[in-house]
Amino acid sequence: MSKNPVAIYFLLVLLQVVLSHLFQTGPLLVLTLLPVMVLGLPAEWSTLRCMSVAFFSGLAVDLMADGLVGLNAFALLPVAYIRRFLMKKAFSEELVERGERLSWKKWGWRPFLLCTLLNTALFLLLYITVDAAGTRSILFSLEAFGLSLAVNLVLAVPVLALYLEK
Amino acid sequence: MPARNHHTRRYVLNAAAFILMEVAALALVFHNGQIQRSWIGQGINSVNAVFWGSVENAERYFHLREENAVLAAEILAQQQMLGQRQSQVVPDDTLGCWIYRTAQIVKHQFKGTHSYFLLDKGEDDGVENGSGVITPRGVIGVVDAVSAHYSYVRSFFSAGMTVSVREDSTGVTGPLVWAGNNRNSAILHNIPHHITIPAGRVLKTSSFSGIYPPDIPVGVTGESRVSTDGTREIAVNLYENPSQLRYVIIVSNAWREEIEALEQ
Repeated sequence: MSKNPVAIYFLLVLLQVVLSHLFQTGPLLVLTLLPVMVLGLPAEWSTLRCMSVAFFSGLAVDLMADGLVGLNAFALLPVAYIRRFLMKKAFSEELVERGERLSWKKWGWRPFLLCTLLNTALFLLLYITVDAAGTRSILFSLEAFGLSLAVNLVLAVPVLALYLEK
Repeated sequence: MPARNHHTRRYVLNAAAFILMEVAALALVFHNGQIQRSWIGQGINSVNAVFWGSVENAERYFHLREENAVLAAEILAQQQMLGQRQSQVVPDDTLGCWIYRTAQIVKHQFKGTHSYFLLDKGEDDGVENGSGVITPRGVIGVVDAVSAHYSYVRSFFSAGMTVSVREDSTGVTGPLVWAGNNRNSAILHNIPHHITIPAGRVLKTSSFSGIYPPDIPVGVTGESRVSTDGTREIAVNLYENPSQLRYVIIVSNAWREEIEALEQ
């Protein structure tokens, strides 16, 4: 049976809300599945469609997880904006134009790692900067960025496994 | 071509939607986070300061012409005050009363050994043939022809033009002529060979010609050598670069006719 990436996406939004409620990690660690979730949306989806989904799901997480309203949406939008461009470069034009399903077997782990790394780094950069709002030192922000990037890359593996075809 | 237009339209639409949603998200952050509100507010203020600062700089740039005119008028006033003071202290050296008029250079030409300027002041402004043209940094030339609204100035940087200059510490006076090779060099001629003027001494106008007021700094002395006629020649580095000039001062001697009548 073929997987439904849209259904998986909305299930993961709920998981993100639960994760945010359960783990009050503080400013040093940001736990997020959102950037890798955007990567898992159907490849043929337009940028505008992805941005809309990213905006409203980010807003939903902010509202349901009692976070700063708008922060996740703000950090996730650029990830959705560059998604198609990034996938064309990391995978191929055909994957995006034809709407092929992502698969470990066909593409190997490198393009997934590249996309996840860039998406997560961009998200964290914006999230940590706006969350700190100039009140934390650059060193602290860099530590938070490095730690969060490492942890979220590990978290991305099972999320990608949910999306990918075998 | 239609496919290309379609792509362009899509990029523009995506970019517009991105900016719109990003601004909306930022607005939500602004309204819901106290620290973020103050931080974003500071950012907006900084951007405003840079923007309005740039606008003001641009406005100032476009008003430079007027400011230059104002500055030229101020220089003129200073020159007049200085001239009046000097005539009170050393009346014999100033050859009477100098009249100063600012003028803008409307055209200049440096061609070979003949160069000239056209100024935007003429007979209607009181300019007379034979008036001197100066700046606070040197001598520019002599008015050679005058029409109702314009003056033709024969430049100092032409063959055959001389200015009488003086070196204060030695009291030596001599004719200064353009060296002919570039706009910054001149030669002080006819200095007795036994007189040496060290390099770096300031030369000023002497007023012996009656065309230029005295004590306008013209340049500094450089190397010297004894010429074939047995007199000393001294190289002079001029202060003023005529090719960069926009405004000059026309000087007329109010008692010139009286002096000329007496000389005849």
